Formats: sequence, structure tokens, C-alpha cells
Amino acid sequence: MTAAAFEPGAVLEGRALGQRAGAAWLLRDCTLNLGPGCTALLGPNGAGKTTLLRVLAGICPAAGGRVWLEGRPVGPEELRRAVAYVPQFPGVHPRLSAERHLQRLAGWWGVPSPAEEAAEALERLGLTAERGTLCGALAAGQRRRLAVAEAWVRHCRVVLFDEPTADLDAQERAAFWAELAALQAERGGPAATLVTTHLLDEVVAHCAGAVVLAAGRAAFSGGLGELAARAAGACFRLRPGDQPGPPAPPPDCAVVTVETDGTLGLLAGPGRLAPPAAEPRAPTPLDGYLRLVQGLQGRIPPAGEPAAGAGAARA
Amino acid sequence: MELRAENLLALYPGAREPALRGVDFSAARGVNLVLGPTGAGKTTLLRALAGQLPPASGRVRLDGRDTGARPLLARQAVAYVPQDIGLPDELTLREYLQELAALDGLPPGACGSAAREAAAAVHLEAVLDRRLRRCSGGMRRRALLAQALLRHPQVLLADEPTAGLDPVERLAVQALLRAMAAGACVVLATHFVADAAALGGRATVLAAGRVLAALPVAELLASARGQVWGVGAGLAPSPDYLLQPTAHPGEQRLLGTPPAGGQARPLAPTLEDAYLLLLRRARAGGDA
Repeated sequence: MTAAAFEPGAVLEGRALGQRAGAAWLLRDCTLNLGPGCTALLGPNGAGKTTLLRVLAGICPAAGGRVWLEGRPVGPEELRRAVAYVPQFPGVHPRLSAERHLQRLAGWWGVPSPAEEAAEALERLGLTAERGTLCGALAAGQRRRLAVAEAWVRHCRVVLFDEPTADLDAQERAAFWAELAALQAERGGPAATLVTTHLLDEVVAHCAGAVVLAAGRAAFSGGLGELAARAAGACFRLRPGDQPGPPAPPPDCAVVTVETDGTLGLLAGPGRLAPPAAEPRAPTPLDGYLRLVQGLQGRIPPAGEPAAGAGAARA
Repeated sequence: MELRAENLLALYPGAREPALRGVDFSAARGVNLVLGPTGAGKTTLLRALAGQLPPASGRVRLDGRDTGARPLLARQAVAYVPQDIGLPDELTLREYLQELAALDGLPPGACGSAAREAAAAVHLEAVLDRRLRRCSGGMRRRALLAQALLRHPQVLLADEPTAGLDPVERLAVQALLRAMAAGACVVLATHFVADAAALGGRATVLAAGRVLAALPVAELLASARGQVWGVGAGLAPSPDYLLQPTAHPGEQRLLGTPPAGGQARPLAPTLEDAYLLLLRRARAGGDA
């Protein structure tokens, strides 16, 4: 099966979005679109990811540009109804039960029958046993599930998750993605979701497209294959030589992967191509991301450089 | 350099269950991973190894010598990088590192160069005079690693050093740990299995305060061979397998044994698959 094509028929679009704090621009001329299904929002820390989510959800109106929902421009008021923003640490009242929390939330958003919707959401997300548990006593994975339930009771067209998996372990992460897939497959579920994450592995496993934000601009918005292609020609492999230990990577190259036999997956630095003697390898979305961000900031330290303090460690 | 723990039992005041229930652990030069779900006891084990949490029973030995009886030994040879980023925000990175170097007993004239050297090792030399408050999350993580390098430790214990880092910062920290592991014993607790895949070495998997498995990462990966399959949608849940969604609605990943007669095509396992299968087997074994 080939990778799912990123649909140009966008559900949610941001066109030339701007946002600032005083004189500093947090977002500037930021243009992106979300197709149906799940899209990843990637970017270095401080790139403006949370600001973008808040603008797309209508929580803080854009200082410039416009958000389009299913083909028409919409204002913050309508965005707040149609788009759910799930922060990394949702503001739940610690002394409300999970069920009361959902009922109150549904009531606030004017859902016709809050009690039924809350009960159904709890059941759908396997939280029925926790319905009476106080929000403050839920485990991290359960709290994340409650956040998905919040999006469910509101029947939003688009759900934006801010780092939903950052504090989850592997089992809880797998459960989160399974629930999100079920939610999206549901009739009345969201048409599009945007998920902020730093873990490219889960992007490859669960998302059809990606938006890369760097320094307040969308450096990329498209399918994962297209993202990988940004590193075309710069990815190569270095097999271990006769000497014991991993091979020394050439200068200006980042080590992206290390296989168990010591083979290095390398990415050539900005403005450079793989050395002619190197064995080429297929670029991955991680390579494409690194190449984009490297080109913009040049922050990645060369891997070949021994860490001074480490090298001096006395064994 | 060998770090060894024998039959560690740890109990937090007021807790009903011990956080560690008889853990044996050993780590040598290179990368030594401590994996496990949230609450498995990873942080407790690291704190016990660092001498920060006296175990209720059991021993920690450094090259055979009991560190419980000789706390200075652990203090000098072992550096601990905690998960919580408690940094003195009002200081600059240089002031922070110099102060710690002085506390470590370096002569006043040597503190400046030690701070510079440690900052350079984590690629932070350009922000030495920036206040810690103004450093990004990734820089603060690296600042914590830098303070651990001041002493040229023989053992580095790092608790979730890549949590919250973006991919570029994550690769930088991985490269740093890999370089350190060439000359020292690096013990790394993480719930990001991707880090384990990138760093290799040996893995100790904890669950509910016990050691579930201790084996080379390559062996853990190999244990999932033939157990990861691509299947269509619509399979019923079963105790024989775990189903995971993919980016394609019509396709799922199956971990375990696919139903007979169905259409399943073998997929290359990832370390995360192997880890999930291991936890699942352990749970099934515990239920039986």
C-alpha cells in the first residue's frame, strides 16, 4: 500500500496568519492546510506551535490573515464552536468527577443533551469505570483519554491536540492513537485533527500529512512523502569498518539513526550533498524535517565532534 | 567501571506498595537503558543508584565497593541528571556551572575553564552568559547534563534526558550520550523507546518495581521477529494480539499471532513493538 495522499481539499486552512506579543511576531505570514484525517504539527521548541493552535481554534484572534473552514472564511466566534483545542495539560477542576466535568463542558457549549453525551463519551473511551473518579486523581493516560472525550461531546469538525503524548509511556501512547483513530472513523467525529508532537516515529505511524513550523512561519505543509523528499540526495549510510566501534561520521553530517550492527544513518548538513563514496539511503520524514529546520536555523551540532567533557571522562 | 545493585527494596514514606521490590541491576561502560511504563520504578532506581535515596534493603556497589557505607565514593564518581528541571533561574549558565564547580571542590582558578569546557561539551558555549530563565527547554536539559560533566563522572545517571525536546535537540542529546558512553558508564531511564533504538546497548525493563528482562537492545528487537503483521480493518479484539491503527484507515498493525486463514503480511518490527510485546507477555504470564 502506498502512503495515503495528502488531500488538497483542505478541511481547515490558515492563510497568511499573523500574531504578535508587543513588537515581537510569534506567527508571521503563516500559511497551512489540514486535509481530512490526522496531520502532525512539528517544529522546534519556541517555533510558535501553541500560538498557532490557539489562533486556529479562535481562542486568540489572528492579528493578520484569515482561517478558512471547509472552503469559507470564518471568524473567531465560529472557530471556537467548530474547532476544539486540547491543551497539553487540560484545565480540569481536580475536585469534579470525570462525568460531571464532561456534563458541564457539554452544557457550556450548548450541546442538546449533556448527560447522555457525557455518558456516551465515557463509554466510547473506556472511562465508564472512572466516571465517578475525581479529575485530579486520574492517571496521565486517563486524563488524556478524558481530553479526547471532551472533543467527542462537542462534535467538533476539527480537533487540535497540543503535545498529547509527550508525558505518556509507550502503552499509553498506543492507546491514545487507537482512540483517536476510532474517534475519527466515527460518524459525527472530527473531519480533521492536528497533533503537536516531537516524535517522528508516531507521525509516520499515524499521520497522513505534516505542518512544520519554524520561527513563526509554516516552512512546510503537505504529505509525509513530500516532507521526506526535502532531504533527497542528502541521506546516506556508513557501515562499520574493520576497526571496532562505530565508524567516524564525516564532518558536517548529523547522525540520524544508529543500527544495532553499528551502521550509521547520516544526513549531510545544509548546502551539502552526500559524499560521492557514501552509500545512499531513502530519506525519511525525519530527514526532511531536520533538513528544513537545519536550513532555517543551523542549530544541529555536528555529530562527529567529540564532546569535550565526555571525551575526558576517566574510565 | 562497574555499577551493580543487589536486591534493592525501596519504600516511600506513606506508600502502600514498595517502589522497588528486590531489583538486581548491573551496568558497565557503554549505554545502559532502564525502560518501563510510568510508575515502574525507573526514577526510584536511578535515585537509589545515585545514593540519593537510601534503599530499605539491598546494596549498591561501584567496582565492588558498597556505596552505602562510603557516600563520598558515590558523590565523586557518579553524576545524576534528574528529570525535574530545578535550575536557579536568576543565574547565568556560566554562574551556575562555576558555582557547582566550586562546590565540587575545584580550585577557584579552575572553575571558569571547567564551566566553559562543560558548556562546550553540550554545545552551549554560545549562551554561557544568558540567564537560565531565558534558556529554552532543550537548553535547560543540556545545562543539567553540563553540570553532570563538570566532575568527569565515571558513571552518569540520566533520568528522561530527552523529555520535551524537539527532534533536533533530541538528536544532539543522543549524540552527546553516545560520545560519553565511549568512556563512561551511562545509565539512562526513558519511556521513549525511540531513544533506546538510537542508542543501543543493554536494556533493563522494569514493571511494577520488578525487573522484567535484562538483555541487549538488539536481542529485545530480535524477540519481536515474526510477530508484527499488517492486517485489514475489521478484526475482532483477541487475547492473541494487540491491534494498532495506522495512517491508512483500511490497515492496522497486529502485534502477536494473527488469526489462522486471514490475510496478514509480515512487517519489520520496531523496538517499540518488541517492548510492547514484552510487557504484554509479562502481563499474560502474571494473570495465568
